[in-house]
Amino acid sequence: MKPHASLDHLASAREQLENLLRRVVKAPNPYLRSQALIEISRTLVHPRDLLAVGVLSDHDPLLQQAIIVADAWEAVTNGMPEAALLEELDRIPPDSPLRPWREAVLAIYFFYEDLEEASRHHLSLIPSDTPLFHLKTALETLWSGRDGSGSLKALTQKVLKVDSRAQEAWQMLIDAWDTGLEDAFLSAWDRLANLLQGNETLEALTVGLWGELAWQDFDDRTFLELTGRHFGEPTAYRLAALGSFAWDPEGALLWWGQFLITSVREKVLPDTALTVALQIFQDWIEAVADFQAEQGRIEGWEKDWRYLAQAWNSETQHAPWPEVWTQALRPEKPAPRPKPRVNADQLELFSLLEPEGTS
Amino acid sequence: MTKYRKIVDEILQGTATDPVRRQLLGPRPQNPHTEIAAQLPRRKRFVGPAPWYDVLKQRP
Repeated sequence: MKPHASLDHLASAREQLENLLRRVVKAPNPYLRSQALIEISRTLVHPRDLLAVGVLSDHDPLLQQAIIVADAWEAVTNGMPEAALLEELDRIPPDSPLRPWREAVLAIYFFYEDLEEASRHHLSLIPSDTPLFHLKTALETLWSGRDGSGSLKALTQKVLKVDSRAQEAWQMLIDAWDTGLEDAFLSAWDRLANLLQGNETLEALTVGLWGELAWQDFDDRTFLELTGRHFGEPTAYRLAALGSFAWDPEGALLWWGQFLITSVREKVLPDTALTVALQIFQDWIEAVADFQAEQGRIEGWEKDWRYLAQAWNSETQHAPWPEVWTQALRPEKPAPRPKPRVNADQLELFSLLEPEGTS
Repeated sequence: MTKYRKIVDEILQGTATDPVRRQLLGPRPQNPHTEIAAQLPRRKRFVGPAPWYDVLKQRP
């Protein structure tokens, strides 16, 4: 190959990208614009190229998305991802030509985190007609070489490998989970918990299982009661809240409240930890408010929240529900005051009657 | 969703810096599906009555 051949190719690719971007900017209708965007997604070899060509204005959403993806790509490939950068990726809309790049960034991130299922999930979202599809093939090959080390089963077996009884109980748990047999699942967890008493892995596993419950139609209360018998009520509520926050923030918030109530009742938390647990509760309230602003409130939320407040006030009469928490409730509008029934013929006789709204 | 994502990351990625907070928000789940679960449509959690009925009932 001549030395300048690759440079010619790059110049040609850049020119093509410039033309496509001009089509996006000047498209007379949404259809032509979307066609140009699809074409960009099929040809874009790096998000930084969108920044280099200089067609897009500084405020163009596509340019902003390219900056976000380019930064996140740089971070994950250098092994320095930050939560804030990954969070920004949520701003890439599904129809953006940069969406495959978002999926690739997350697939690489989860690859390094050794979380196989999550990585494969994001790989599966990369379309086959984009240059990134080659990356998908490469990462999947790497995963197959890892022998499933990122799976929940493999992680747990690292701890259980010396105890065949625990391995057997774990296999029962997996089988019950796969087949959706709730009673068998509870029985297997109970057995495993008896074998692993005092093992911190049991807590991590339980948080993980709470996360998995998003896929199961099990009765959460039964699992909660079972874990409560092993860990005690406060820890059982705390683990349930942690495990389910990602998919059910409202329910998790209520359970963190339950964790606080039972901790105060049983006096299991030192003052410092209780203070921090209360701060977390307050942060969760704000987080749920953010979530609800976008997703709306789940049915029955206000009633559940009020019951929790009532329970808290009943349990901790020396420290009633802090004002900041009650503000998080949407106050119910007071019932309109009934208007005084006045005989119109005798209005003058009642001139001392207070005008409405002054009392 | 910034505050929501921040706490999800504190739980999933262990990004809390205060040691007591990190302990309360731990241990990190051994669960590769959790991030994906965050993308699922939410569902009503409680199959039966909400647990705080029990709390009220259990009061001495």
